Amino acid sequence: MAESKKSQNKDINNLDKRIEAIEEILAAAAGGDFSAEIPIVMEEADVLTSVETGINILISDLGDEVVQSNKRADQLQEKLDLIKKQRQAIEELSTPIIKMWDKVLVLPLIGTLDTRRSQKLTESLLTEIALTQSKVTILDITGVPTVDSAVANHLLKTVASVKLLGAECVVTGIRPEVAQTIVHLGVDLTGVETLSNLSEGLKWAFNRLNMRIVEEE
Amino acid sequence: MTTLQIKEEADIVRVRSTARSIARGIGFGLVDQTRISTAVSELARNIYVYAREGEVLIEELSNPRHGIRITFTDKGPGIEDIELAEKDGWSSSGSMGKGLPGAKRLMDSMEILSKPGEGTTIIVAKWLPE
Repeated sequence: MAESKKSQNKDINNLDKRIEAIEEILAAAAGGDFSAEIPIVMEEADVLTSVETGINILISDLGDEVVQSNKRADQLQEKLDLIKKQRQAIEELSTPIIKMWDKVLVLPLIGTLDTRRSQKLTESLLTEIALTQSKVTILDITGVPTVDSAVANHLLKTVASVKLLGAECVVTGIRPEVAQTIVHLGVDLTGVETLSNLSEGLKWAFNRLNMRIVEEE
Repeated sequence: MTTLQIKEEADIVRVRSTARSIARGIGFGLVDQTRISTAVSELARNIYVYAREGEVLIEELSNPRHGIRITFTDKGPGIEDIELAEKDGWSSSGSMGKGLPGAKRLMDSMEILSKPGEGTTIIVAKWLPE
């Protein structure tokens, strides 16, 4: 047994040097460098040559795969960044506070109101009221498909804080199906001034400011 | 049959829009769609507020009547006094206390199974008007 193993080893040229080369290549690959190759002398092919070739192919494939995977990770990160940016853009876009008239602000609410958005909304509204010295705020909820008790609660709180600033608040655009649901839910919005639509809200606002729109003669 | 997880606040919106679109598919009108979606919103929010996470199962019913059944399951603190929790205006979290009683009024049936310390299962259903 010992004899035959020895004779096989004898068939491999420069064994120590080549093992060293393999170790180096593997170490480089482990460190993330897949560019190096084990030098192969095809003319003197022996049992180890096929192993060396195999390792070379494996490492080169692994290198390609790592490049691909990094590329995919980058693309994914880019998409995540894009989503984040869009989210911010939507948040800004979806909370516009419009100065409709002198001392009249309109806040058209669109989409869903989660806790975060609600708080941000109330905050920017109160700042805007203080800044513009507005007296009337119209909260239009035409674009809110679901008014649950949390949203209703938020509306009540917003209305209360607006009052504390000495301004008045009217909620417009409650859709018929939403109105029925609010009543079923048992939420009491009687403390809140409500009107059917934005144009009614604007008329109400002018009325509160003792203003009148008249046709030109 | 659709199963959805509740883990964060955004899931409440996902669950109720899914419920709304399934209700629409079953043939519920706009008012009932809104009622169902609002009830789902209340009950899903309860899971998020009290149990942090849970599961919602939405099923279409066809036998003997067409309708929708939604099951809310969580392993949260459970409800100490179900009778009290079903009363208008009572809340242990400082909210309006409209969630459970409101959802009950918005749906045709509601069943609450709860054990303090073990969790809560709430099953609501609404039938398609014949």
